[in-house]
Parts: sequence; C-alpha cells; structure tokens
Amino acid sequence: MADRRKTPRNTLEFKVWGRYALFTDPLTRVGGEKCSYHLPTYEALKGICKSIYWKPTLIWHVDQVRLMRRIRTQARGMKPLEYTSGGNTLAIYTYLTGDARSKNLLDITDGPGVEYQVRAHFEWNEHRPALEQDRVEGKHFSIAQRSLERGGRQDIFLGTRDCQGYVTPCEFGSGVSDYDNDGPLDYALMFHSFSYPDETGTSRLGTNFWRPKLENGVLTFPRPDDTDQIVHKDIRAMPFKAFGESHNMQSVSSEFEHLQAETGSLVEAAE
Amino acid sequence: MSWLQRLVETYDACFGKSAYVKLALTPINHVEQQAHLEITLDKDGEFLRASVVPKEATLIPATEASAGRTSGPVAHPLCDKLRYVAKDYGSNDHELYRSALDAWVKYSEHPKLKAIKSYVAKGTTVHDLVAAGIVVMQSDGTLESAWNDGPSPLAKLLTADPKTKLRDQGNALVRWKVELAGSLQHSVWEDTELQKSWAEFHTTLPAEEGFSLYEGENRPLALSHPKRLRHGGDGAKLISSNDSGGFTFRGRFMSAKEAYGLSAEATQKAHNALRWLIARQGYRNGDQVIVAWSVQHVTRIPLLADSRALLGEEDEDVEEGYAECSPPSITPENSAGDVGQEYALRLKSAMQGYRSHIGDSDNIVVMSLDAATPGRMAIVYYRELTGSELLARIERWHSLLAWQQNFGKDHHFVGAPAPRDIAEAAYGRRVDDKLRRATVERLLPCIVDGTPLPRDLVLSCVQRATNRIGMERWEFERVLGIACSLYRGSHPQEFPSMSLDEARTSRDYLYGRLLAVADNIESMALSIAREPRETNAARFTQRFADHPYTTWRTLELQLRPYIARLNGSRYVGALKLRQQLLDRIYSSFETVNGESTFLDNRRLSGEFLLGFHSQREALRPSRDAASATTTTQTDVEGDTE
Repeated sequence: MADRRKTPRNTLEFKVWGRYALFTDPLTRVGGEKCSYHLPTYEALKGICKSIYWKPTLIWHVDQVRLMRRIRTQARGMKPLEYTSGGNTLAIYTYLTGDARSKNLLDITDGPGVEYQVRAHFEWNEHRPALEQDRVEGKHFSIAQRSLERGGRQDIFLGTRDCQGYVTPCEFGSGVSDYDNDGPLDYALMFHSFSYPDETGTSRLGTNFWRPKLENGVLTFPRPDDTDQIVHKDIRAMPFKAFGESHNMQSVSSEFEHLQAETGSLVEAAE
Repeated sequence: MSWLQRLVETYDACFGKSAYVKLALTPINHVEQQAHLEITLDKDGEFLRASVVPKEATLIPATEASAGRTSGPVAHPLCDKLRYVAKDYGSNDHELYRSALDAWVKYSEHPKLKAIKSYVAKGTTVHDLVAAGIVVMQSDGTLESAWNDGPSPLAKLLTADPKTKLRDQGNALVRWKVELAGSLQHSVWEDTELQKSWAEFHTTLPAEEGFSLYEGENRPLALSHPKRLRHGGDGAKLISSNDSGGFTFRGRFMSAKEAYGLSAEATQKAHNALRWLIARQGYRNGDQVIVAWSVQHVTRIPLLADSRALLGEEDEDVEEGYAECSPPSITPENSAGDVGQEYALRLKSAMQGYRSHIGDSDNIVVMSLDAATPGRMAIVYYRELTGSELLARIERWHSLLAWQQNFGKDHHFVGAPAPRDIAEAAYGRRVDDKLRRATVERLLPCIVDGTPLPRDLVLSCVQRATNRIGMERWEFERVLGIACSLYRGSHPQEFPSMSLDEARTSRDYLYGRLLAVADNIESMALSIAREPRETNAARFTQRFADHPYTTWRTLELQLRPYIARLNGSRYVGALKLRQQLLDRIYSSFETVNGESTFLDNRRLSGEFLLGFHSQREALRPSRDAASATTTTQTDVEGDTE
C-alpha cells in the first residue's frame, strides 16, 4: 500500500489491470468495427477513478498514467446485436493486451493483459455551491483510499464495458515497466475527454482532443481546461444536472436520524 | 503515431515521385474509371476524330459527390458519360455537366478546358460520333440499344442493363484529347497541369466545414469515405457511419457528425495511399490484407514470405520496385560448412542487403485489414517500429524457424516456412479460408513482435506429421519439415544446430533417431527387392509416438527378415554401419533413478520428429556429391554410395 504520509491529501495512486482494454478510436467506433487506441484516454481513466469513489462534490483529475506492459493488440470476432432490426451483425474488434509476465495461466495479475499505474487527484466542483458544506478533504480522501483498498465501489472496466479490470493501491513509478528506457514517442491527435456541463459550468457538451507524448512509458495528461494542449470541439446543448441537499441528496447525519426513527429499536438492540 | 497520420505522410512522400510511375498514386479529387470513347479536338474546339478505347483505366477529375454517385445524377466536371457530355443526347443530365465544367473554366483559363467547353457548347457530340461511325443511330433517329444484329465495337465494352438487357450508348464514358500547337501532351487525363488546376479549383468549392480528427481544426469535411481499397469490387469501408438506429454512437451523440469528422483531404490522401500500398505490396489472403511499408521511401518488405523468397531465390516477383531491394546473390564459394552455417551466412548477407534499403531509423508500419461483413473493414493489426527493429525481428524469425524444407521435387530449401504453409501443415491442405486467415493473423505478432508461437499450432503440426498414414508422401515430407521448424522455433536455444546432434541424450530425440535408422534399413532392403511399399517404421509412426518402447520392440522384430536379406547382399557393409549406429543410440539413453529412459513408454513430444528428420538427413546420400559434408556420418555415406 502507498505511504499515505507521502501523497498529498487529495491524490490517489493505483494500479489497474485487466485481460483486455478497448479505448475505441472514434473513427472506427462509428462504423462499428471498433479498434483501440494504443494509449488509455483521460476519460476512461477518470471513469475508473469514479468507479473507485465519486461524489458530485468532487471532480477527478488524472495526472499521469504509466504503461507497464508492452502494447500488443488482439483482434476478436464479435457478434453485436442489431437493436432495431433484431438479429445480429458481425464485426471484428481490436483490443489491447500485453504479454504475460508469468507462465502460470491462472495467474490473472501477471498473465497476458494490460497494466497501468495511475496517479489522479480530486478537486472540488466549484459549479456546485449547494454542496459546499460537503467539501471536507480528509473525509473524501479517506473514503477513496478505503474504497481503493477494497477494489473500488463499482465495477472497473478498461475503456469499454466488456473489458473488466481490477484496481489495487500502488506507489506510482514503482516496479519495472517495459517502456522504462524507450525515450519519447509522439502520437497523433487523440481523444482526451468530454466536457460535461456539470464540470464546466456551461450548458454545452464538448469533446477534447490532444497530441499525446509518451515519455519512458509515462503519459502526463493536460487538464481538460488547458487550452495550450487541448483542442476543444463543441458538440451541442446539454442541460446541467443539479445535485443538492434537500433535493436529491441527504447528509449522513440526517440519514442516520431517519434510519434510527425507522429502526430505532434494532439499532439500540445491536448496541 | 496513428494509421491515418502515417498514411497521409506516405501519400505526401510518394505522390508524384518518378520512381512510382508505373503504378502511380491517385491524386486527390480524382477517380479512376474505365473510359470507352476518346474524342480528339483541336485548339478551337473543332471535332477532329474519335475512337473506341479498349479497357483502359483513366484518371478523371471528380468532386466528392460525383465520385460517390450511385443512381442519382451528379456530373463529373471533365470526362463523363455521353449522356452527360452530349447536349444532343437529350438528357437533363447535360445541364449538370455544363454547369460543372463552366464553373471550372471560369476559374482556370487552361486552353484545353476552353477548347472542350466551346465544343460541348455546340451540342453536336452525338452527331459527330455518328458521322465518325462510332455511335450507331437507328433509322428513326434514336440511338441503338437493343443490338439485335450484334453489338457494335463500342457497345461490346458496355455492360448491359441487368433488367432490360439493353446496352445504352449514353453510358459510354468520354475522355478528351486536345491537340495544341507546340505541345506533345494531348490527353487531358495525363496532364498534370490540369490535375493541379482542378485541385486548386476544388478547394474553392463550397463545402461543409467541421472539426477534423486529423488536423484538429475546422476543415471541409468528407461526406463519405472511399471504398474499393483491396480490389476494384471491394465494397468494404474502413470508416463508415450508416448506423443511425443502432448504438455505435447514439446516446451521447445525436448524429454521426457529432461523433467524428474527418477532412476530405485527409481521408482521400489516406485512402489513396492505402489502396496504392495494397495494390503494390500487399499480402492478400481472401478478405485479409497485410501490408508493411516504410513511410520515408516505400520499400517492399518480405514479411510473410518463406526464407527462399526472403533470400531472393525465387524470381517470380521481380518487377518495378522489387529490384531495388533484392539481396546480393550468394556464390557457391562462400557456402562452405554445414547447411545451418551456410544458411546463417546467407541470411545475414540478405538482411544486410535489406538494411541498405531500409534505414535503421525508418518508420515502418505493419497494418492488417480484415472484413467480417462485406460492407465494413476492420484494422485488426497495426504496429509501428523502426527499420532496425523490424529487420532484427524478421532475421530472428527466419533463423529461429530454420529447418530443411522439402516442398516437392524441385522445391527444397533451408529456412522458415511461410505462415500460409504453416496453416496448411497444421490444418490440412483443404484448410477453411477463415482458419487460414486466422492462423496468418496469429502468426503475424510472432514475426513482428517476437511473441512466442501459439502452442496449439505447434502441437497440431506435430500431430499431423506423426500421423503420416493419411498423407501422400510429398505432403508428409512438407508437413514434417514445417513441424520441425515450429518445434524448434517454440523451443529457442534448445536446438542450436539444424543438423544431427549426436551428443543429445534426451529420450524423445534418441527414439526419433532409432525410428529413422529402422526406416532406413527397411527401405534399403525393400529397394533391393524392388518392392515399392511403405516401411513398417513409416506405418507405425503414430503408434511409435504414443508408445515408443513397446512399439520399438515390434519394429525391431519385424526388422529381422530385412536384416537377413541385406546380410546376403552387397550392402552388408552399409548394414553393419547402421547396426553400429543403432547400438550407439541405445547406449546414449540416460539412466534416471536407476532405470534407463529407454524403458519409459510415455508419449513422445515433437522433439522425436527433429531426431527422426536429422538422422534421416544424415543417413541420406548427400544430394550434391561434390560438396563434402562435415557431419560425422561421412563414413556411412561413403559406403552406401
């Protein structure tokens, strides 16, 4: 486990791995023959952070990702459903995977697959003044740490729902990566993230793109609002989803009181 | 680093280069179509002559809409079908053609364009063609289309309407020649100035702008993306978006346009480059296409060839572009030593030859495409690596899998088999097309990434080589060589030499050798008696592999009459040597835990094939009597001769 004293009080460092990953290139996604980018996208990693722990009070920012295994791909024949006409079509999806580190086929951690180390931190969502009283750093940090130690609150998946992943705490930069001595590597324009209204404060949906640069296997992400590195594409109007106490959230203490009123005798009996 | 970027780079690097004249890259905003008619004009737009053009692909300028036209009328701006070009054909389509051409002429004052414009304006095209005897008119003044008396030379080139069976002469595509004074370049389809002018004019045409995923900024977007990538009739697209009902993008996005956009320029360049690369140097296997190229200067890279082709010993494919990277030929003088050494030397010098054409830091792209449905194509493999990396991997593959291959009478070589042959060896000659594709697909990372060979493939080959009853002799020989290759390749470092390793004492290897000697003795006896039948050793191979110890007992008993037969013949010397060899092999078996491994009756691994093959090669009289072999078997061979 990572040394808590060393990391800032809002930073999460973890290892995520899985048999396959599919960070679909939008060019191939629309046609239906999904082909993965070679690198994980910011949005996919942010989603993993959110699966570990999330509350509308906070926004996860992915700082860095480190590729641990050499990039390999594997194409698999698929039978996607036709939702409108019924039946199915045929397609070939190209997933990311990697070489096994262990010869034991039952060893899911070191078997063939992808493995990344991620460093992310959370910031308060300033567009939610209604949740201001929930901005308690230590609380959210501790819950996030505890969730991570238990493998996350929700299912973890790498890019696409069919690529189940697993998380565990780790120290970012520890261990040996296949890319340790590879030097810099430039990539072409790639999807970075979505701009949702509840994080930007505007009522528009947008997509962000960037030109990644891999440095010894480490990718340092720009923030979604970094106009130097991010190319923004506006998509369309989208309403802002409101959260607030009294409206669709409840404080823990009032929840507790509520529970106690309902099952008061049981709680006392348990004590 | 993305396939799109690399393809556009390749286009920019290779377009218009004189080295690729014979099969040139299509310029953007042009399509290749088959012209049927050629009309020659003078500089003032007067009709000079016309002729029928036999099947010949012609490059004609096109807008995006006209390039993708199907049943709706859209005109190409310069060369089009007669129904568009000729006013007196009487079709409304002519107005579309006129306006497209006029707009271009307004932009560019090219003399050829002006001549064509003034000729078209006269509206006498059909009349002139009838006068020239090319277009046939019926007595009632309409154009012939039924051809009851047999089609004219022009009509023969046209395809008949599948429903009405009529051949409409209005569907003949017209191309122009303009004879200008002082110019030798008459044809419009080869005029690079016109091509340039069209490209410039095209950028001024109104187009829908949007965010392009290639440039990362707003550009004129492509309405649709090209097809016909793998061959002329290929309808599969790499980028498509016709799924408005499913959930490929719906949910977060309302339309495909929101989900992605790509500039017309980028998509055309990328697709033209890909189509060109596939035609020029693609490896095609049914629907599957694998292409490897260097971005800086397009060189052919023999990725999926067997070692013979790699070493340039096959000269079937020598044509434009190939010669540039053919390896130096190897003279017999420097081919001393055993086959393995000689092969290693030749491989080394061949790779040296490739290295002189592919720079160490060149960007090499390996891309594989496949289609599960007729309409869409998927990128199933994409890898970028440097020239030195790729050549090292190819060299590794060919030295790792090197073995004596026996593909038929005049088809012996030392080296690695091609992936396609491996698929046939593993699954039989009538292997399903899909399985063959999948096998090549699985072997591609073994070559390019250096990943281990798929275990099931190795086992399957070994299994088939063991079960030789079901195969003709030549097929067995072929599968045996490939199985040995694969087994050797899946156990790197274990078999450093390709020839017989007398010091090797593993049970499986020795049992393989025993079988080879028994086979040899028996076939010697059979050939004396002129009995052309299979040896017991051959027939028992499968059982021998499953239960070596008990089967060997049977084989040895059956060998006795043959030994007796040979004892009485002039081959008695050779027999003695073989019997000594058998004794030497017996005594080589190790003793583990107080028991000889010879008594171990468990199933043999693929290694026994290696022992069998090496021993058999060593016993065989050398093919080239002049070259002395350095193996220890020289004395044995000397006696058999």
